[in-house]
Amino acid sequence: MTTAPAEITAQIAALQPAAADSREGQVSSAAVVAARLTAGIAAPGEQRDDVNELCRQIDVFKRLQADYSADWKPNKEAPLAAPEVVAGATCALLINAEPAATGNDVDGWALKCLNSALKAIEQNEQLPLRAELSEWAQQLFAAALAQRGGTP
Amino acid sequence: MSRQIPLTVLAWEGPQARAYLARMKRAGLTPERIILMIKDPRSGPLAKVTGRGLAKAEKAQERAHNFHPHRTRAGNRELMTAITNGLARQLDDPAGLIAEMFDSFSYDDFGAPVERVAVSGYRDPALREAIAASGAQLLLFTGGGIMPAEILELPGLRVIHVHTGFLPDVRGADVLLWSLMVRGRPGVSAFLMTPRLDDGDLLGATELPPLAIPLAAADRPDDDTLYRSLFSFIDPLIRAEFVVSQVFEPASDFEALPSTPQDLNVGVTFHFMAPQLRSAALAQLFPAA
Repeated sequence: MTTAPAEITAQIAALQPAAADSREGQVSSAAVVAARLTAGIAAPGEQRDDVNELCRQIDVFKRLQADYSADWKPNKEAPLAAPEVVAGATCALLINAEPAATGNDVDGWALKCLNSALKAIEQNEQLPLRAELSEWAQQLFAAALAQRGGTP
Repeated sequence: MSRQIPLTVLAWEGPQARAYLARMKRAGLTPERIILMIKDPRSGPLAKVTGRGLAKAEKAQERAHNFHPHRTRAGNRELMTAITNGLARQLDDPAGLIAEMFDSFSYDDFGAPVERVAVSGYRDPALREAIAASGAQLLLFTGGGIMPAEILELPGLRVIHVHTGFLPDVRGADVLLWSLMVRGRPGVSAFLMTPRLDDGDLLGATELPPLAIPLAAADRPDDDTLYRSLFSFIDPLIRAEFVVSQVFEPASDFEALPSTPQDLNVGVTFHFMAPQLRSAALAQLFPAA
């Protein structure tokens, strides 16, 4: 790869907006993404809840809002998350997708996250570091298929 | 010899409802009634049709909802042969079942009274009223939308849904393809629906033998056609085979179908596949011959 995943992650983490804490009764996408960028791969259980929601918003609603109500209910009128935050979400998903490339994706979680990352890249042409994220996703995809005996 | 079972088939016109009815007929099972949802594709969401208009709407719906299966059968003979050969390792006589689903099919040929209800969709109050008035206690969902809580919470009603993933491990959408990618084989589960996604008590769940449908390169249509064939023939027949042979045929008391709660702490909820992943999954399902 041209740029290592750790370097991409560091660059995207540096782009994240400051003071992104979630307010009472609300979820800030920026706060969730900032936390996920440093948390590594989510373990099964509650750790996966936020990542699951990022996947759901990207896969089902094809957009990531700046904020959500506590139950992550989408609102078409709500402002979108900044491109830097969407890039952060994509990066967090690719971090979670890493086990797909090493044969350690026991339950398909990594492949699910890779699927959502591919969609996020496709949906957002103005994503910061889009080429780097795309290259990382393609490298994971090829490795994941090789693990399963397939070819891209 | 036919056995009537206390089951109402809520038929959303299309391959899935037809597969259930064809497979039940093979097993000598007759539902107590069929409620056929009819939506006129040319009318607005709240339009209601009656009488001759209803019959016209039913025909229009038949053509629209079964367009892809009819077109695939007519234009992809080699694909159809490959699908029936591949499915023959999972169930008896898939070619015969597919013919029954699409050649001269009529909802009136299954020995059950058919109630035709003009609705705009699952949220139409007319559908809830029709189900409540029918007295149905056990309903088979055949897809086509999201079943609202207002129906699922009708007193005394239980609604069965069949899902082509092994629950509780594989929830969500495109689950047959996800099962192939993640677990190397299809799974299938029958459960009692709740207003939440795929989390109801299980009537049964199993993983099936690996499924591969080899296709010669010259016979291979594009991914969209393969994907549609999955939902026209393969997925409906897998669901029908499972629920009929593993839930309905063995049941002696439909009021007390044995069910077990799912472990909601395990499993992954998958969403529709990105084109790249879908292509890889289809390559696994339809490998080069």
